[in-house]
Amino acid sequence: MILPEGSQRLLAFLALKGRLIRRQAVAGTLWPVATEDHASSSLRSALARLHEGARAAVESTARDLGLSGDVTVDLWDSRELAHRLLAPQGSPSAGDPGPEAIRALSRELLPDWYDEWVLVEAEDWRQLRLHALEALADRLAARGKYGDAAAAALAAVRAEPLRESPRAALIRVHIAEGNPSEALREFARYGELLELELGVEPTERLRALVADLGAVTLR
Amino acid sequence: MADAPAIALLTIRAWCEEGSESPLRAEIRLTGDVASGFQTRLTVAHAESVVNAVRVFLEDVLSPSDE
Repeated sequence: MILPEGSQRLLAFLALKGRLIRRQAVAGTLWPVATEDHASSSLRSALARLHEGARAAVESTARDLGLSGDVTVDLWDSRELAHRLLAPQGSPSAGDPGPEAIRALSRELLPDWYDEWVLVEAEDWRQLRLHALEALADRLAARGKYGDAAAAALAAVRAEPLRESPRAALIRVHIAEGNPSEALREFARYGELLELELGVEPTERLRALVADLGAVTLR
Repeated sequence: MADAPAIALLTIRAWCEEGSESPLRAEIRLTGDVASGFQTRLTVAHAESVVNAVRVFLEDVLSPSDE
């Protein structure tokens, strides 16, 4: 069932906040250019237009709004996964992260939404998931799961093609698997992209990663 | 009822590549109408390029649209 736009935005906002929010704050955030009265009216309308199932997902008091305690949000699980992957090595992990974890960490948050409150949350999630994908690549490579490790690193590269740390993660996977030629090819590809897009070279840190593998051609 | 004016949006995501001779990286996304989504994306490595992009963006907001 498709919800009206106002109701969609309301549920998404409550899901991102993950706690009870003052009604006034909800209305002011979702309808920032409206007067307080109009924003409150829009909020009441958005709540009224929720179908029965969606309405049951919202905890509503005279003062506050939030998602009901029995509602789960995939973003919360994904964030938890990301934090587990970024925890120190000694921390316990739930299960053996693999393709499902890569999929969860590859999802952007509301990619076609441009509300200010979404943009900030989306950027926050983007940074978290990219670091988590790099950590996942290293962890999988250490366990000899090179295919999944490369997939995790590639997911981070696709999300940030000009950023160096995902490329370094991918190169480390190739080196760990015993494919120095692949590592050098990835380094060369990245170098060409940097030159083309930004007119800069890879950092010394990245060059040091491949320095012992073979010829490293410098401009 | 008159159409509401379009809202232009520009975001700058910036980070630092430590160890690079030009460490600044800034990904700029912009649109003249947020309802159409981001129409232009570019990444630059110099602050002046960011300033120029912002200047052009604001000039476009202020200039009348072409028919």
